[in-house]
Order: sequence, then structure tokens, then C-alpha cells
Amino acid sequence: MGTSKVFVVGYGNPLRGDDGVGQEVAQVLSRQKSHLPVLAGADVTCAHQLAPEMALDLARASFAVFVDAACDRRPAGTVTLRRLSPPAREGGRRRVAPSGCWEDLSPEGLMALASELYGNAPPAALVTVGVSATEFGSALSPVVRLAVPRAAAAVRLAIAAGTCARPAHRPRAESGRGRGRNA
Amino acid sequence: MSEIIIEPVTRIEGHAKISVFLDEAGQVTNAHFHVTQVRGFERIAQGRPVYEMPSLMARICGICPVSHLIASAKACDEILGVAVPPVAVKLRRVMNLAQIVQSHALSFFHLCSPDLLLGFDSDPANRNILGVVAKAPDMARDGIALRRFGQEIIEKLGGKRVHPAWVVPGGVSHPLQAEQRDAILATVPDAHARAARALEWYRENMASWAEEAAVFANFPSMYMGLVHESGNAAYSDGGLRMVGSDGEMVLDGVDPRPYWEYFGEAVEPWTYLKFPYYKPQGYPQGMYRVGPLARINVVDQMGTPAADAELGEFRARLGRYPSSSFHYHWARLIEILHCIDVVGEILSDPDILGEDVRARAAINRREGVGVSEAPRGTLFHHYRVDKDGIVEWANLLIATGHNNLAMNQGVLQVARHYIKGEKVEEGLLNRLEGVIRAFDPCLSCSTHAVGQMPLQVEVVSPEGQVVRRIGRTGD
Repeated sequence: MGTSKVFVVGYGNPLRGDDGVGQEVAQVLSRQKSHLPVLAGADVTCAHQLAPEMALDLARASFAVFVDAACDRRPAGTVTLRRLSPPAREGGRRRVAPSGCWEDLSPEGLMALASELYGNAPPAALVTVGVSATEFGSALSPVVRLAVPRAAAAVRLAIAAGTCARPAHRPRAESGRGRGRNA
Repeated sequence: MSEIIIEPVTRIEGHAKISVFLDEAGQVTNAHFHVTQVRGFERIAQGRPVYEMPSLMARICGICPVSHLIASAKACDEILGVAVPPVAVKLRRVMNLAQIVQSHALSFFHLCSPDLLLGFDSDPANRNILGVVAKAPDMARDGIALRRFGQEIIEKLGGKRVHPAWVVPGGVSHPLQAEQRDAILATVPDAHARAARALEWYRENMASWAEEAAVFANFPSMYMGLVHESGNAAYSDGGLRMVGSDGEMVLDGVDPRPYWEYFGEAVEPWTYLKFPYYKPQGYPQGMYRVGPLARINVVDQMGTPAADAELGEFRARLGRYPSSSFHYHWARLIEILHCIDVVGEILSDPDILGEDVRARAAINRREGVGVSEAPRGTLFHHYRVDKDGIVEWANLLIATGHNNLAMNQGVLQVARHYIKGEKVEEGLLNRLEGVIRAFDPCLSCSTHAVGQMPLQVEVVSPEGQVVRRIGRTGD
């Protein structure tokens, strides 16, 4: 597996108003790939939610950016960029999702899965956009729509900073061991 | 009387609740599997152009949208009165098989393997995918790889993994390119090897689940699925076959489209999920099962060498018509192996790159029924339209609904076996959920509701008081 790629995933539900802003930002970045060198070769993906199978995409990447709606009290349209680290081990294991369920994987949880299963969790960043309305509907609110170019710029900034910061890592090959048996 | 409530039922697709009713002596008298979501897609379809139906109906589910796409498109084919080009028929089959692989992988590896690998009585905090990663990382990797195998085929054919719009009335929107075909074919051997490894693991460990297998919906019923004239498993076409618990042929090779001649739909006041039944036997005697175990039971053979060898082993160990729904797990793995190999066979046909992939027509009929096998069983879409092709009426008979009678009887069987009195251990509650998980219900599909799907279990006293409620929120 090579690890030269940047992995960008914008996720959320585009049928719930501003919750779809992550996918919208990813679509903007996809269109910019052809003319912005910082995005050249980036693997830009849209998804409704993070899923375990993305752990392999992550492990193959040298840097990753997650783009999501921030469903907290932050003002609508606020763009935030922060570095991510895989969750620390607690009692010999990592916490992947609040419920341990595959359906609510966090970026940190996906990083932990990539590290546990494939031996590599690249440096990563999270770009979030404060939301205004998440009722049923396929349109972003005006204030969040205006934030999309700024969020895309934050992703590009993160990539430019992140890809200069660390050399590529080669994930380990599958061992052929570790198939459990019941007692 | 007391009542035990489990809400939400976890590691299933959608929201549900289990109620267990006890008498004064603490013995189980009854149990209900409630689906607490409201169905709505039949109403949403009214007033929409029939050409929109495949894309609209695919929104019923994020796990098995392709089955709805195909059943819906087949209903639309009927309304247009077109013969779908043979290449498009094959391409639709590839996408449906890919979806069965990814959905079955989700069910087995992500949702059910924690119980099988760690034990039904293990710490609930560990009974999740992380527990699988910790105990059997290769199994976790195989599950992820098989999910990706199916999803990447869907993405290559349809442009995206969830809700692709490539299957359209009359065929598919664009032909397959050689590079897409080659990329998919290159992944078949690895996927086959991973599925075979999972089957080997299952066979080696199945003795440790003997008690659960004995009581997880283990009773006689009929089984139903689509079967080719050859007796091979069929997933996107074929005739309807229904066999009794001892193998007597109830239906064979019948046209599935006039489904209302065979099936009635009963309702109960405590759940939104209907209870389909085989009409000649009435309700509730006309119970039948669909999905992986039913398909394995109704076919003469799968039709691919490796899957047929596994089917031989399955029947040698369990008999010709095994009646425990626990064996859905094994059947699911056999189907994964079979579907991977059929994808390889179809894509190795040089004709698959043909460019005649869509027949076009105006509205030629006012009614159409489309039938397909979804991961969870046989799926029916039925539409009536006006002269301009606007949908006036729609009915969907969903795979999970077919299994509703059996799921409820299965919950009762598990409750009677494990619950004695009001003292209920967590591991026993997990088995109540486990019998439901074996069927792999998709409640979002079966009730067509918007939202997630957790579940709860209640124990109810003879006076109607809830004496125990166990809930896990999904939000």
C-alpha cells in the first residue's frame, strides 16, 4: 500500500439542511482538484457518515482532513480547524465510538481503527462549520452557504501545513494472524 | 403478570422494542417484537412521475438501496412495457449481488460477530466492532474488505456507494467500461478468499453456539425465495418457490408478480410492521421465512462450485431443511461466497461491455409489479399510474415484513427458554436481541420511516405493570 495521498472526507446528511455542509465542501474541493496544486492527487470523498471501511483509505493516506457540521452552540457559519489525534488507549484498548457502535464512528475513532487494523493513522485535521438549521430539506441556510468557500480554504490550508509536516508512513501488511477462536 | 422491555434493540438497522410478558409465577406467557416507526413511502410516491420511482424508492434505505432500485425499476419496466436489453439485465444483477455482499458483511462481521466471537454473555462494553478488532483483527479486516468489495462495485457501476441512480426504467443509464470491469474482476479472488476464511472459522466454532441454535426461532415454517428454472439461486429474476418445513413443494416456478394471490397482510395494534402470511393457510398459520436461510433451503443448489461445496457441508451437518434461524448466519456467509463468484462469472462474459443497455418507451400500461431478492428476502414493488405516468397508488411488500411472524415467535421461544422469573441477566436480554439480529431485519425499509433504529425490552406483570425496562438509545 502506498501512502502518498491526502484523504479528505466531507460527511453529513444532505437531506437535513446544514448537516450536509461537509458533503458540500467536499464537492467544492473535488471541482478544485483540477486547477489547485495543493489538491492534486487528493482522494476527496462524500459520505453520509464515517464507516469502518474508511479505515483502509485513512491508513493508505499520508494526511487526512475530516469535514463535518458542528452541531453545538457555535455561531452558524463559524469555520473551525483543529488537529486530531487518535484516542489514547484506556486499559489496553481505545474508545472508537461513544456507544461502541459502528454507526457513530468519530474521526478519532476511525483513526484508532486505522491504527489498530492497518498500523497507520496519518496526521489529520478536522474542519467544522457551525450550523443554523438541520430540519428536513436539501438546501443550506444562507449563512452556512457563505461559509462553504471559507471551509474549503481551511481544508486547503490544513493540507498545505499537514503535508509539509511529516513524511509518508507505510502501513503494515495484513499478518494472516489474529483470527479469533471461541474459548 | 410482569413485563420485560428491551429498548432499543441494538445492532440492528432501525428502531424496535421487545416486550416479554410474565405470569404470577414468573413464567413467560407471551412476547412481542414491536417496530416503532411509521411507514410512509407508499404515500410519498403518490403524485410523483413513475420515472422518478427508482431513485425515490432507493431512499427508503441506506443499506440496501440497490434492491429497491431494482424492484422499482422492474415495476417501471412493466409500466413502460419494455424488454430490458440482456446486457442491462446482467449489469443490474451484478449491482444487486454486490449489494448483497456488502449488506451481509455488515450483518455478519459488524453486527453479529461480536456475539459469536466474544460470547453472548461477554461484557456489553466489548460487544462491538472494537471488541472484534481486539480479539480477531483479521476477521475485522475481512469484514471491512468484503464491505468495500460490494460498495466499490456499486460505486464503479452507479457513480456512488449509497443511492446510485444508475438503474433506471428500461435498463441502466450507461454501459460498463472495460477499465471498470477489469478493476472489479481484479478484486474477486481476494474477496473470495476472505469469504472462504470466514466460512472456515464459522464451521470450526459453530459447536459453541449449539444452545442458541437450538432455541433461536427453531420451529417449523415454510421458506420462500426466487429460484431459476435450473433450481439455482436467483436474486434478480426467477420464479417464486415456497417449500414446507419438510420440503413439500408449496409453490414452484410461479410468476411472483400477482403476489396478492399468495400473500395477505395482517396488522396488530402494537407494531407498525405488518404481518404477511401465506393466504391459503390463513393468519397466523401461514407463517413463512425469507432471506438467506430460506433461499438456501428452497434452492436445489447455489450454482457455483465453491458455494455448492459449502452448501453440501451445511446440509450434511444440519439436514436438508434446518429450521433454526440461528443458521441465517451460516447461510449468509455461503451467499457472500456465491455472490462474489457470480459477479466474477458475469463480468467475465465479453458481452458485458455491450452498449445497448436501455430501452425507452412512453407509458404503455397502468400497473406494474417488480420483484427482486434483497439481502433480507423477497421484495415486491407495485405501482398504479394514470395515463400520464403519475403514480396514483403504491404498495411495497418488504423482506423484513415477511419474517415478522417468525421473528415474534422466535422472541417468544428465546424468552421461554432463558427467562425464569423476574431476575433477568443481561446475557439473556442479549439473546433476545440476538434472535432478531439473526434475521438481520431492516426496519427502516420495512416501515419506510425516516430515522435511526435502536430497540428496548420490557417485562410486564399480570397487572400490566412494567417491572423491568432495558433500553439503549440510538441517538
